[in-house]
Amino acid sequence: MPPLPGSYAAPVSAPTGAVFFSSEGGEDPIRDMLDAGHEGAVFIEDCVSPGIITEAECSMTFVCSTNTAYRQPIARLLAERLQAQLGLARSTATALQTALHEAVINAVIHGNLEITHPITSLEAFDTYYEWVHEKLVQESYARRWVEIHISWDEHTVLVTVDQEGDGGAILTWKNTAPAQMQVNGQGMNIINSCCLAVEVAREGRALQMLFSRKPMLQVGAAASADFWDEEPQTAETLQERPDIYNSYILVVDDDATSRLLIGEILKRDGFTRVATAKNGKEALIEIARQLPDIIILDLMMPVMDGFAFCRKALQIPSLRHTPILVQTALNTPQQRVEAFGLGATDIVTKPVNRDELLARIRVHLEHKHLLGQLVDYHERLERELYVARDMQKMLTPSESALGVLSQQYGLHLQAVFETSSGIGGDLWGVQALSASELAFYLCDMSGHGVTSALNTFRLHTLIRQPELPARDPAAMLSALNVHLKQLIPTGQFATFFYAILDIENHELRYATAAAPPPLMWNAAAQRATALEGRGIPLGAVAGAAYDNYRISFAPGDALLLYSDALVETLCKDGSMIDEASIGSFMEGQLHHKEPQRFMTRLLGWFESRTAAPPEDDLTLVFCQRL
Amino acid sequence: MDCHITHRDSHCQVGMIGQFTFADNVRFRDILDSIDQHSSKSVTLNLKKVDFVDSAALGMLLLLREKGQAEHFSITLEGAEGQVRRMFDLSRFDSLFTLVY
Repeated sequence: MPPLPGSYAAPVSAPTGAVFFSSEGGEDPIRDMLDAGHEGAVFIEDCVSPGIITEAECSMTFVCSTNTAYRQPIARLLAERLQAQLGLARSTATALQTALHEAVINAVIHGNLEITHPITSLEAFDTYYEWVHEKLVQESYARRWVEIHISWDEHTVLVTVDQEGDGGAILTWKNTAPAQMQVNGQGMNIINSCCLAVEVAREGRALQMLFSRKPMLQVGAAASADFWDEEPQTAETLQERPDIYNSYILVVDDDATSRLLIGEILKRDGFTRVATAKNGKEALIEIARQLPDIIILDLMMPVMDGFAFCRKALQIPSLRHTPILVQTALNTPQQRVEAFGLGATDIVTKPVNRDELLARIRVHLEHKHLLGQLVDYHERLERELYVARDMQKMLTPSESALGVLSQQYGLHLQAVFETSSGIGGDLWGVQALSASELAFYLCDMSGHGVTSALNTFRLHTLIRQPELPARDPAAMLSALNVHLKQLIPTGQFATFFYAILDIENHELRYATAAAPPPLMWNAAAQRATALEGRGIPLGAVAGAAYDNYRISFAPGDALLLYSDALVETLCKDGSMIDEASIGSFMEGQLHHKEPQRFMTRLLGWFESRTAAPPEDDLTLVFCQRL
Repeated sequence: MDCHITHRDSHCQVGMIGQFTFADNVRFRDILDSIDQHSSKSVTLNLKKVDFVDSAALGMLLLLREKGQAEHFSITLEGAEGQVRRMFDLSRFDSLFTLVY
């Protein structure tokens, strides 16, 4: 049918084969259009073109008769058009189509055809549709218009579905509880889950739905766009969403009617595991039998009232994470404060408002579930870290290995390797270079935790490479520096001490890269001194050069290597242990000539002086020539 | 929507194609009648080729379920994807029907 001349301007962009209508410009252009026989949609071959009557840059209005709205896939056509025009994601268009479809059926069947009673059975089903078709053939009903107005801005799309008829049904649907498994009444629930917001206007005749243009994570309206996401949800992801309806709910109330009412509300919403108790005492018995996921508690009860119960509950460790939702008719600020002070998680007033009660319960259960997941994750991570720590411990020489070396070289060798957070950044080792030469090293990777630990594994592999100049400490450090400069990220570095004990020549040759200066006990002089030496930390600068140092090391002499933790941990008296005090301690201990006791005593001394376990990894290596 | 009903022994297999909406009350009635005629003991609706369902369709499925409970035949809904699957999730159909994917 050709377009009529009239007051509506032709739209800017026309889809192929579309026919657009305009009216005579009378008082009621829609009535005019329908009276002139324009149904609002036209078949052109097999494709149905929407009857768009106005189209501006940011809005579009579509009108058609009830008959057309019933028989043609209006929602699909409009959604597809919008998707193309606005570049909507497929999931957004699907959500829009779904909600629009529901709104249109509502407008057509319940609004314009005025069929509002629900389908209660299969028999009623057939009768229902007979009535629908009976009315559809009556012109007075079939010609009633349905108007869909769509406007949009950068972020949202607003769709209003309006109708000529009564529209009372929308208001009824709005009150339907979401999980009610009724044959009818799902429509509003579906619309709610597709939109950001829904409003009812024109005394229930118009339904306004606001959609997000981009998929966004939303709370409330059941995460609309997220729910309709393009990626199909696999069975795994479905399980991940907290199924709070499996929660075990305990309702504590002395009033039987109240217990019944709340129980009903919960069951209808989909909570199948609900138990009740008459008072605080009974509640405690129930809790002992089975720990609830949430407790709904009436404050005013004769035997052990709500306040007393809360006081008791505070003392029960297993209830620590159980939300307590307190119900009370008396609701002064003081009482609220007292209730919260006693451990109530939330307060709802009596008489109970079903929607509010359900909303609060859901929030607390979801929160509890998420908390549980977090705790589980944390525990799993800790377990894994401890496994990693054991792996790391295996990198350092074992006690038996130390025993063998001690025998071979006539030494007393002992070490302590304590990490601060499961895994750490320290590494120490000992390597036999020849029958009379033994190399020691102590390394401290900067930082804590996983990253520095991973670097220790790298170092451990690296230091065993045969091409490294193991017999020349300064050259060794230079070579290690070259490798570590590449391996370790900028900003991270390692302090390193490398020494070769030469039994035959009674000397210690060493080099240092900013390591804490080891202490040497000179048996002849009965003195402990810090080893001198300087060098840039490894991994910091390319091409760093180091110096070789020598000191005599005769039988009876001892060497103590230690990591930062020994000298950087705060003591109880506010001071920090320094080399001088370690030196004094060594002097005090070693002239007793009991090397095997030294390490234990050193640790004891350290622990007695410090307030808490060290925040850093603690490594100690003690070697005394016998 | 179009649907294709086959019977084997006492099993009724229904393949559905297209959009399953309020407009399909007649087709739905055909399915129910076919189940009655063959006294089916088990019914499977394959929805793999269905790309859209509305609340009326959900309602029809619930009516089918009631019939199944009254007349003792089992119902399986298989192949729900995309929008159909979302609608089933929303209405907690996993707690009402045997869903197979």
